[in-house]
Amino acid sequence: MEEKPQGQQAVSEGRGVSRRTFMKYVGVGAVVAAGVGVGAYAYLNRPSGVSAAPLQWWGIGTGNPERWDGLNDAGGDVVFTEAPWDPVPVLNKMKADGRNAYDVISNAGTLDDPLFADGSIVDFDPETLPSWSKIYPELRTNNPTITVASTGQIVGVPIVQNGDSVAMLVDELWPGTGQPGQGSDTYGLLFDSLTTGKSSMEQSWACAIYKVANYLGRNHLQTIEDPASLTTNDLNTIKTFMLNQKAAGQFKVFWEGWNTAVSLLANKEVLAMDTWEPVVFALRTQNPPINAVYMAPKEGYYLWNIPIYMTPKGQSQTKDRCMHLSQWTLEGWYGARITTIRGYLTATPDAIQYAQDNPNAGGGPYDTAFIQSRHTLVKGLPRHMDPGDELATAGG
Amino acid sequence: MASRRPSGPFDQLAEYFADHPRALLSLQIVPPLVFVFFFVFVPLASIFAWSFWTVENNRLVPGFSTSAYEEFLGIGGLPTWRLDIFLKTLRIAVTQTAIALVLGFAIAYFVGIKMRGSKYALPLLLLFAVPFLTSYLLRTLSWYIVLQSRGLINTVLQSIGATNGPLPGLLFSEFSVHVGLLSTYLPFMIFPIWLAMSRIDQTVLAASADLGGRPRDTLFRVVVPLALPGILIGSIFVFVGVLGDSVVPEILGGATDSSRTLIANLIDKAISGQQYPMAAAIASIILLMAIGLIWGWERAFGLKKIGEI
Repeated sequence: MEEKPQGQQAVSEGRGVSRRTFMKYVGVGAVVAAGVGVGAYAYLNRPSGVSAAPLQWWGIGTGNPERWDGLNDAGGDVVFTEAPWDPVPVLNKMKADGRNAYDVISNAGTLDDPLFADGSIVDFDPETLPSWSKIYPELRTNNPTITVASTGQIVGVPIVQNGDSVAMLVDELWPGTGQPGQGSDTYGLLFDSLTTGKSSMEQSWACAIYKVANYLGRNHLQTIEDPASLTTNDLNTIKTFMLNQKAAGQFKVFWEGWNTAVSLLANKEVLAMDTWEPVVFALRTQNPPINAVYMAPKEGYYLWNIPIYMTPKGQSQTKDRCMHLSQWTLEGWYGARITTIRGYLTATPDAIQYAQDNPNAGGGPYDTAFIQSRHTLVKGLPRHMDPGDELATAGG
Repeated sequence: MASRRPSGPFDQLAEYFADHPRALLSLQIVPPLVFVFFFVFVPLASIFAWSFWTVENNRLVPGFSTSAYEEFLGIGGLPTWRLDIFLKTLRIAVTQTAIALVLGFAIAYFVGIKMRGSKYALPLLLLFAVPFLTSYLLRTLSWYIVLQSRGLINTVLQSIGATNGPLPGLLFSEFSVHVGLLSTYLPFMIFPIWLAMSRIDQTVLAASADLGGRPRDTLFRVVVPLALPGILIGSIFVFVGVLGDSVVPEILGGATDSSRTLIANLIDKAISGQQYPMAAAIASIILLMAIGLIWGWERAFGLKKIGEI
């Protein structure tokens, strides 16, 4: 038999396959696999508007109404995913994939500048919302949480606001009295011998530092010129104070997360905690109810608000629905619902009228007097005050 | 007999590799080497490199700065709190390894030697694997429920009149951290020791007894030396595991004795604060220490023994 050239040595004989044929099969296989892959990628990344996928809302849990009454008529479904109250992970998540995963986000307003600079949120003209003019003036104008400092653009819609202070277990701290006693009107309770080893502060420094700043500054224990605008020296002063307190065994634990906060107080692991007011609401609805009081600190509050922002994904794929959702947060049902279940104040007064007209609407009942009182109270919380003024009469 | 002519591609491939054994060896070794290089070596080397970079405008910038190491070690009058946490973590890891060794050895000895041949030995051993069927987070949180002021232990103690109130330091303390770590890492000690003990020939134990060895002599002069590979590998598992654990201290640790912050939590916090070079520096130091540890064990005992179990 004639000897085949070296290059054709392995040419098919019977069921044999030459290298060339093998490579041909591999090539065809690769093309088919690539085609399937591209098709699958295109299918999985198709515009959400085509499939009417739920709006993805990533936010602080206390802004979650847990129901969506009235929104579904035009806004479609919403999936609310709880975000951490920790600035850097939020920035990192948004930079990494959050901008393409969520339509809207709501986080503490201090993040609007870096989020906007990163391209994680966009200017979606929130001033065009029908209820924009109803937003309380202090939230609507010169509000740094919705205004980009460098450009002056408005990039968010304020949805909830409050002033944070301290939750106290009255029956354990002042047994037999049923009422908050000595020391119950100052952040100093967190650092008092009454609560040594039974005090707790939030692990996220961003909330805790302002309370400590108010305490040290307003009581002239340390030099802190403006607790609302802390300098590096102020932060070092606060840090040193906190480290000394920690070393002295003042704190039992640093809490993180809504459930942990409620659990620590409900189980009497700690007796005083710098925390969010909804925690006190949750304690009062325990069985049996816990005599918990939210402090009205004489040093004043650090008022905050949480805005809703739109992501690039929201702007490009679901803008109308995001606008509808934003508008819905400014209307009566959302306001009545949030104030009822969280105690938080929403951005417009519509909730008061809504509760009056619809006391038994979905997610209720809604107590008009209570909602009215919360609006009066929270709006009345002083911002930059000296000790000894009307602060003592404010609070929850 | 005349050799059969290759009839298919696999036959031809086999023939080719029979003629080129080095090509076959390369085909076997290169893929895993490439995998290890890209998925193990490159990430670790990257971490080491990042420890010398800097952060500008929230982003890592290539460069060469030893400031992360200087801050960590407290060089030049800088505070040493990070180093203190590292040393504290080492202390807790050593203590945890010792506790796990004492308990793990006893359990493995009981199951592997005393219950040898019993039909209950394996089910009993598997009981220690049951916790692994649940979420690590839930497993740790369950200790929260047991140890808290109104938890199981305090409730029982108070109901039988043993205590008047909640025991202090049961939760949010170094004690609760050790309890949580023990429940997590004890099986990592038990199973290697049990495996090593299960390889001890029964006749060796019988010979020890026949030669007049008391049970204690058999334990310390026969069982322990033969179980040493299992003890070593179990200790490595527990020690390294504790060094890298951030969940248990986060949930069960307290503020009073700072048990809430171990070295892995420090890495988490550094990342949260965008101190990426610091996080990388700490990780590199732990990595170098772990390599040094394994090297030391190799010099002292020889890692080949691990293969024997």
